Amino acid sequence: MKESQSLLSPKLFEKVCRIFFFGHLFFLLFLTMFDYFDPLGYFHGEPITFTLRGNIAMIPTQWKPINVNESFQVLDTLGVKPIVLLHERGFVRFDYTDLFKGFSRLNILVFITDLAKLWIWLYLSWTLWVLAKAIRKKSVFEPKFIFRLRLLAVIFPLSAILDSINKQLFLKLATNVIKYPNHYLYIPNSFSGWKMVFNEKMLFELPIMFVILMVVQVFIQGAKLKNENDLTI
Amino acid sequence: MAIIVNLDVMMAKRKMSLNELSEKVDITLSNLSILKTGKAKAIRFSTLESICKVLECQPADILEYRND
Repeated sequence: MKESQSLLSPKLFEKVCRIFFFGHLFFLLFLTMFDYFDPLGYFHGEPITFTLRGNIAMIPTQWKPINVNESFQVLDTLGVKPIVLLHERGFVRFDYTDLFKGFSRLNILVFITDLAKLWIWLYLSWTLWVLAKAIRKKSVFEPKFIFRLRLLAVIFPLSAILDSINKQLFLKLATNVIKYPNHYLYIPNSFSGWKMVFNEKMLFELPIMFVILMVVQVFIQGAKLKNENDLTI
Repeated sequence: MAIIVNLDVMMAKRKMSLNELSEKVDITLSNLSILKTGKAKAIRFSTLESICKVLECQPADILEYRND
């Protein structure tokens, strides 16, 4: 395919990727600053607060699935036995005005994993930008890109694992801070224990990892061909 | 390596420097150096033709097969 026939010219593609990278960086900086600390509040005379956020579910201690036949009108009778798993879930926010208490070991771990699962994606936009630059310079099949793409492939499941760890840590934090009579706290829509790793995110991110690893194989062959071509005098 | 490049031998015989040869053959000094040191994976017929023309020799004078 001729260069002019492609949707984006390499120069434009690089420009788009560069804007995307810096936009992403700005967004992450903005989010880090305003999501965890509120510098604007300080200028309005409010004390600096350290905020942690997350989702938790509250399940009654004696909870069991609702008996549909008693409580609901079952419309579908085609051999369906509905079970309704209904429990309360919500958004939790902890504002620490006492920064000494705010930066406890557990809170810092929640903060770091939360940040890590966000900032890790900056590597994706950076790699895209670097690749776009290499495409423009027509030197894309370099061994360094094989390493970078392999690292990128790992980021997808790593993000899901970080997310699971973060949720687990946040649950521990929430359990330490709040209690509701006859209820226990739980992470919504998730397994517990080691099965936490296989969350819904992992379901999508593992195949993406394999797709990138496939692309890595293409790059390995490309680098080999380029090396042979470079050494043909 | 089974194929030996005897470019340096021919250059010495013709008393020609690497710089001079690269100018006359019209290939870069680094590519000529790759060829001379035996790091090259392949050589184009056109390059071989130009080298033979400048050095007034046959391809066999530059390339040699040795059974390892």
